[in-house]
Formats: sequence, C-alpha cells, structure tokens
Amino acid sequence: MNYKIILIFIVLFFSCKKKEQSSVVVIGHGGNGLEFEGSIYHGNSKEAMDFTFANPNADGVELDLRMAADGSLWLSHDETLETETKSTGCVGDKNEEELAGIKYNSLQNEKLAKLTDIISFQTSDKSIFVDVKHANTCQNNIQEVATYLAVLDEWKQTISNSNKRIYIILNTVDWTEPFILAGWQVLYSSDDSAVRNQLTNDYPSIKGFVCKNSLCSKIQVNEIKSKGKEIYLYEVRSPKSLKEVREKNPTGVMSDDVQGAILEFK
Amino acid sequence: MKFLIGVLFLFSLSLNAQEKDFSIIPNKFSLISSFQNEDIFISLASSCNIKEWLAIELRYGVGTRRTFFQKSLFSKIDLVLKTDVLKKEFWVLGPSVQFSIMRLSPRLFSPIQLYSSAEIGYNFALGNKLKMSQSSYLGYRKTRFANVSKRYLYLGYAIELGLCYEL
Repeated sequence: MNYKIILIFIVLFFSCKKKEQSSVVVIGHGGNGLEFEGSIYHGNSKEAMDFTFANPNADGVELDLRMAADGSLWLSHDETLETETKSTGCVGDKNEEELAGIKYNSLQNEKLAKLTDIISFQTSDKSIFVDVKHANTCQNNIQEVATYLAVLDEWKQTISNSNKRIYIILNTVDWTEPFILAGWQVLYSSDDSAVRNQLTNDYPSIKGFVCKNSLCSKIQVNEIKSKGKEIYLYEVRSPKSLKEVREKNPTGVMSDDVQGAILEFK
Repeated sequence: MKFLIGVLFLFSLSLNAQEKDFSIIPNKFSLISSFQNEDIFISLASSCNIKEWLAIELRYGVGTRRTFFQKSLFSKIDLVLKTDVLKKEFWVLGPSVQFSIMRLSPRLFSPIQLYSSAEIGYNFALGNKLKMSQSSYLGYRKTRFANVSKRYLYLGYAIELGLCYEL
C-alpha cells in the first residue's frame, strides 16, 4: 500500500504543468561543458562536440580555437598544454604532427581536436560559436589576423549554410573590423557595458555580445537586445544560475550543464 | 506507465516475498547516496542472500540535481551482486558488480536521455545490524538521446555511501 502512495505522489509531483518554453538558445560551452563535473567528455574535444551536436534539443556548441605554428586550427581553451593534457608547451609553438597525438588528462582520454576533423559540423543545422584566441602567450605575440581569416575561410567552405550557422567570438577590438568586413557574424566578448556601447556605435553590423552571467544584469541584457543585438551569457553551471538566465532572457546561453539548460529552456 | 509498473513489480517481489512462494527473502534494507558522472543519486535498496556467499540487491533511486532542483525525474534502477571475501566481526569487504539503467524525463513519461551501465567495484561495510557502507565502481556506460539511435560509450564511476539495516 505504501508504494502506491509514493507512486501517486511522484505522478502528481511531475505531472504538474511545466513552466513555459523559453526562446533562449542552448549552446554547449566547450561542447558539453567546461570544468563541469557532470560533463561526460572533456571540453573542446571532438567527442564533446559530436555528443552535443547529436542532442536533438541542443542548438549548437561553442569552441575555443587556437592556431598552431604551422597554421592549423585546434580546439583548446588553454594556451599551455600542461594544464589539461599529458603534454607540455604551447599550442602556438607546436605543429600538427606534435599536436595530433596529445591526449587530455581525463577519464575518457580524449585527444586534442583539430577543427577540420569535426565532421559533424559540416552538414548539421546547429550553430557553431568559434571563440578565436588571438594571442600566443608563450611567445608573447599576437597571431596575424589575415592568416587566421584565410584558414578560417577555407574551413568555412566545408560547412553548410555557414553564413547563418557560424558565429565568431572576439575579445580584441583590432580584429573586429577585419572579421566583419570578411562577412563573418561577429560577437564581441565583454563584461563592460561601456565597451559594448562603443562597439555598437563603431560597428553597427556587429552581431552582438557575449558576457559572463554574473556580470551582466537583466537591465544590460535588455539594453543590448533593444539595440537589435544578440546577447549570449556564459559561466552557467548550476540550476540556480540557469534560473537567473531565464529571468534575464538573453538570446542564448552557453551552458556548462547542457542537459540542465535544455531542461530549463526547452 | 509500463516502466513504473515494472519497477513496482520488482519491488513487490522483494518486499513481499514472505507472503508468496519465493525462495528469495530480503534480509537487508539500505539508503544509499551515489556520487557519479551524471548526478548524485539517492536510492532505496533491498537485498537478500541467494546463496550463502552471494547477495543480490535491487535499488531504486533518483538523481537529486535533476529531480529536485530541476523538477525532471532522473530515475535509476540498479541490480547489484556482492560477495564478502573478507569477513570480520564488525566489517566485511568484497567485490561487487552493478548493472544499472537510468532515465531522464522532464515529463514523467517522456524520457530525453537513457543510460545503461555495467560496473565492477568493491563494497566495504562496517557495523553489526546497522551498518555503514562504502562502495566504489568503475565501468562502462552507454547513453543515447531519446529518438536518436546512436549510442555513446564512456567510462563512468560511482562512489557510494550507505546506511544499511540487516534483519
């Protein structure tokens, strides 16, 4: 008899009317989450990208992109390899042969991913947010924007509907104009509303902005949207922060808890 | 509905065994918390010795993060086989094998992600009638999204703490 009561309770609890669906777009931060204990795969691995792309309820992925010494493009959040992998040195100092065999320090032992190896990007309808890392901190220099644009353009040709699906995230003002002129959809990463306002004035065709959830208020989100710009929030991991994002109602969320974001917004 | 009926049927077998003509009589009931990749699960378990050296445990649990903080039922059913290799007056230690299925459902009967796993580990229990237990498991899990055929195989872990009462 007791289990019948428990069953009735469970049915009532979960049968209650669900909250309304939200228009917030769900993007997997680093694929399926960065530094999140619930992620199955390491952030920025090919497996993480494929996994979220296969999720019918996810809208896309965000990835961190770095250029190797030979101009090949690799997914890596950190410039230095020893923080997350079994190797040492910097991505920017190594070539493709050296980077190809490097594995993450993770349970699944994933390899460092090269951008062009992620085949699932090519024919899907999901969005790809490319966070372009422009600096080589080991050499203390900046990459050449023209070289970056050329290599990215080559990759873009392999992606269906790329003009609509690919977003470039920048955090250096100097690269904003070249990328916009080259026809990319550009989002600028800044937590400072003054910087965002300036960029909106200087580059009217900028697509929008990316901001940390804890540093971007509801008022600021509404201000950005009122100017016709998109706004994506990141550093979102807990159920509490997902509820905060729901309140703010940005264009999208780059969530480290992808399935949690899907449960909240879909 | 079929899923829940199946769960209740399995439970009623173990909890009401004394009233039916089964040879399985549960002699232990446990409350277990399991820290694993997907969530922190709280489970209720009943177990019995099918042989003197082999215990079988059936558990039903829910993932706390998804179920209570996101109101999406993340349920888990485990079947655990244990044997005590080292048996002392107040503690026991032995290997253990666990088979699980998990189901994430934002609406009670509409799953969005399904998991199954097979893991091997150990079980350590301390106490007499009332025991504290600690188990750890490592093994393979398979997951797929509902309505998508592709399955993903990955290594999964579970670290468990439990409280068990022996009849």
